[in-house]
Amino acid sequence: MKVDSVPRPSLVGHYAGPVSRAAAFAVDVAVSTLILAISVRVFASLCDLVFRTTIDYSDAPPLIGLSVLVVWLFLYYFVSWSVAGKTVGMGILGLRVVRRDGSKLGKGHAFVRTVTFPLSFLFFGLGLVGIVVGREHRAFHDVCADTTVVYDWDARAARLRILAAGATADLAPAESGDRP
Amino acid sequence: MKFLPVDAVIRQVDVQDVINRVDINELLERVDIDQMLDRIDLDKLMERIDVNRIVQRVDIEEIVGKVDIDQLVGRTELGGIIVQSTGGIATHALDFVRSQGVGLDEWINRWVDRILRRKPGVAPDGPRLLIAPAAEEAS
Repeated sequence: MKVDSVPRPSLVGHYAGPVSRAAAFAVDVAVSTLILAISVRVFASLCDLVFRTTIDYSDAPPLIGLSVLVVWLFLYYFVSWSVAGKTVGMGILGLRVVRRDGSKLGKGHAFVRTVTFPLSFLFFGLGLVGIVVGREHRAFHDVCADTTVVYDWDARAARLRILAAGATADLAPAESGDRP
Repeated sequence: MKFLPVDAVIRQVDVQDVINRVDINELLERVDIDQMLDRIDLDKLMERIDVNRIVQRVDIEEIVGKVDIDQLVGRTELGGIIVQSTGGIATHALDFVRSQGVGLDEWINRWVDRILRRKPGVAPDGPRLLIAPAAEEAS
């Protein structure tokens, strides 16, 4: 398997592939879970501090826990997409959600994308097949919201940085070898 | 003493033969180039030269096109400067992760195209509004 570690220049605006999108999603799952876990702990500590009430989450009905999770995930994705056009994971992987024609994502499209996002995972992720085999790499929720995901990072600058880092690494042993 | 006109003398002499007999190398050995250069007033010479006219004749685009930027950055200390100015561990980590992601994306895309018997390059690179301006800029 041959994978080019130095990216091709001018990738901005190109359709993002399945690996980058999967990696971004994995980061989002980790980040959103971490934030939720910290928030729940902070909330419990505040209740204990202010109201002298100890909250035991193990006693709470599963429906409440599920509702909190759903609301939190909705807010996480909807606010991220409607405000910045990207989530934390997408920002790290250099991706951005845009309209199918490339224009900026509006609140309405962000809302539809967020609502239909879980549907893509139904039936063993059938709605995600389009990311791999589609010409425009669009999932079911992309089709519903008329959106697509593109690369949004300066690959040319990254290419120069990677080449420069390689050159510096080559120079370092040579310089140290010159020393008496 | 009777003087002959120079033209009449030259007409009688085979100049080419005279030139052939002269040992240029020996002549050049006798010449003190440094002394000759010392006599030249370079400032005065430069004043006569129209530098702008010379620069206008140079095709900068063609020269830049011939330069291998990758090799230049790789060979010179320019690399170190770029690393110092833009680098950081986080930036390098991000570049690496993103590059690996793009590389794997392209690898999967190539295989999918091969399996589905799609001609490479037929599918659009990206949305119209994002790709068209970039293509115009490149052309």
